[in-house]
Amino acid sequence: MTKRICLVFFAVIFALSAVACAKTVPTLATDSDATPVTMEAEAEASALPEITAVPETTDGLSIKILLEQDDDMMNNYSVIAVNMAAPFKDADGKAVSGVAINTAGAKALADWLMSDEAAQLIASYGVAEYGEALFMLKDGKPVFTGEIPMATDATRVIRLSTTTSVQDSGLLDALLPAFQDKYGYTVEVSAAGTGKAIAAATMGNADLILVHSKTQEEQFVADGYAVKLDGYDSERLTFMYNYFVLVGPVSDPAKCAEADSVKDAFSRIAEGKFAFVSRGDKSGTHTKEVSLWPEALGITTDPASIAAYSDWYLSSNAGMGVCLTMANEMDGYVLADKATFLAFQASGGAVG
Amino acid sequence: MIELFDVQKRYGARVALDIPALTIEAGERLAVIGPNGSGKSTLLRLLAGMIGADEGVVRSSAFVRGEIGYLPQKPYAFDMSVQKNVELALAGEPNRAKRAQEALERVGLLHLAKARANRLSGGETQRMALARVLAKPRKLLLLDEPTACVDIAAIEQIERAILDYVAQTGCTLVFSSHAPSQAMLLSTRVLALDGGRIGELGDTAQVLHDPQEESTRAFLKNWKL
Amino acid sequence: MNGAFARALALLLAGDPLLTSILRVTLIMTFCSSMTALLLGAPYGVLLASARFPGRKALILINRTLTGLPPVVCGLFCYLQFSGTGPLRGLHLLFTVAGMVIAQVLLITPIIAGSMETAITHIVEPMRESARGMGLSRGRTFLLTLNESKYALFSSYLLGFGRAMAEVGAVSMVGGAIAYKTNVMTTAIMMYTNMGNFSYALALGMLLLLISLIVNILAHVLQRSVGV
Repeated sequence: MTKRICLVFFAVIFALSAVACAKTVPTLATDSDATPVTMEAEAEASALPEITAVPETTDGLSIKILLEQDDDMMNNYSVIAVNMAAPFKDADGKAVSGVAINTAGAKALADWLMSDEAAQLIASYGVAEYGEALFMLKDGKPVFTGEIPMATDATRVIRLSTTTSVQDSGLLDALLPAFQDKYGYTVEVSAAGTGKAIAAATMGNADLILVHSKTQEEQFVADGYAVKLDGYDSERLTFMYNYFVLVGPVSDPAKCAEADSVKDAFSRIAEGKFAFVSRGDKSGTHTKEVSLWPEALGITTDPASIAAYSDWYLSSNAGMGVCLTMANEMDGYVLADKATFLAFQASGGAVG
Repeated sequence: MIELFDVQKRYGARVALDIPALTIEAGERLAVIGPNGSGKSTLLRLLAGMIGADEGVVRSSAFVRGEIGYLPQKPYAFDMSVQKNVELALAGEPNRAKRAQEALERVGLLHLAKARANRLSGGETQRMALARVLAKPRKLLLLDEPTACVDIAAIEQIERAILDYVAQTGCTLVFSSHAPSQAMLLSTRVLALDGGRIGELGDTAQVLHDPQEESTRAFLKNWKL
Repeated sequence: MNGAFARALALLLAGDPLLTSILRVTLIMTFCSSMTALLLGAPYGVLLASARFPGRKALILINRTLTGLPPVVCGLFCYLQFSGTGPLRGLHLLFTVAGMVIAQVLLITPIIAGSMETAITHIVEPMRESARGMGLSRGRTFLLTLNESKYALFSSYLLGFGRAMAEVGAVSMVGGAIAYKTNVMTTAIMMYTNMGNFSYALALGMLLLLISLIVNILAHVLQRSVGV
């Protein structure tokens, strides 16, 4: 009797999951994924014949990149070392002393990130898989050519606080092992939305932060939480950049692909009230997105500001992957970081 | 020897027991009879130390735990074999297995020694519980309706077992019973309770054959000698 | 249909280091949390059911309330305590499995205690009467109570195990979901979902379900063989 119950239970679970899997769009083999991406990178404004001919089935997605490489969509990444003498406060707002910060470790990692070895890894990341580099090195970025000390027991663990976008791009998985293996450090990466990533540092839970939101970074420095490392001119070490991309339905009803600039594209979306999915979580992506809307709309990261537009503007308060899924399902527009979109596209978009 | 002075036990507003004075002599056999709710179980619990009196004093010379054997109305069967259940009563003592088996034989349960105790019938559970109580010598034996669930065929054996035990150990016996005939057989004195109060107290023969109080007469109404 | 499940199985069999590390951390954390919670909560639950002392009813009520503690609130509380600026920063518990275990123990102990208390509260009186009636000491009676509650112990443990493995709010805050260190199945599922990698997330989800199923079947079989 027991055995029978177990078998039935098992069968039900299996059946449910089989149904869930069957509902997915089938994935194509990986080598055919690379082709559409390179083509889109080349021909920015024109609608590609292959894509208009098969509207619903490009990699099984109904959305694609419509606009990219606009200066307004440039996303600069900086590392900032946390100041051990910063005015740390506890949860009640009282000053706290004796907060442990591994500045030596932070310096080692920061130095390495500015080194040529790291520069090469960054520049080549994504090329093999997607046919293009996902991150570009900044002109005039700081360069480190000195010796990086090996890890000691006291300096081994480096806590790096970064954003979900950085983690989701997979860059750190490609970069950090080289650093860890060579110098013996262990980098503990915690990723959260930009606001929380910075907050983690102000609560003494990070030694180094890697974020991409200039205003928030400058506030961090102004509040005294950053320290200028030896050999650098500034607390903020801006070393790489990439672009956000405007993703939207293959049919592109707002004609964004033909827009002059991303701001123009955004005003077209707003005018036509086409469905738009926003991160809504005050992340770096969200901050950038709200800056691209026409000023007259008054859209900010404050939820109250978008109340009037709820018929077409969706504030999801979720991660990038979820937003892309939503845009895919409702044929909407979304501002995404390219790396996550490419990963999303490569896995056929949804389950499967 | 046990003495009760001005003892009262209440459950909320209801007076369960109200005894101004009662003396139980050492070595006597006292049967407590009365209808349901008259306080028989409450009295036994009080004597066993399971509950405390709200008022009054209970003075008992059987102080040491282990010298009192109390059989509750609904005994609990522990999750182990019947023999192990009885051996529990002999914890820390030598020769447990043999003595447990002897006790089981006295109540006629030796054939179930290895059975799982929680699979027994009501009557068998009660007999096992009695074996637990009788497993070692006690100074005071308090039995709450010891044969209430037992099959009629086995009742005689149980009553014999109790009598033999009392004769062997010389303990004091206080028991409650629904059946006046059982009181007749096992006791030297009878206490008839009426609504928590003493209805009548006296020698067995006298109370059962010639009850003085109306309440006692009412209780014994349908019983024939 | 290739199936996310087949993919997960393939990754597992291939010994994918990320997946095996997630599994390992999950199992270690779950066992530690549930065991500690059992050792703390079970005797407390039994005590609540059997002992009579003033304030007992209040304690039972408090325990019942604590079972409903939202995991994310517990996580937040622990985060603030263990944080770099928090009072317990010297213990270096943030972003460690130990910290996650502590947060989970706070969550699960009341659940186990409550489960034990409910299970045995109705047998405590009859048991006590029979045990004391035989002449057993209070200590022995208590031990007997524990023995009688073996099955309640079992099901309470399972309850705790299930909660520990499925929990995500507290462990993500205290652990930080750090790769190869504090990333457990639930936090990994969240992470991959956010990244858009639903197939990996689903694979992990099914693995989680399968483990739960195995544990429950095992428990059921054990209960039956012991013969309740």
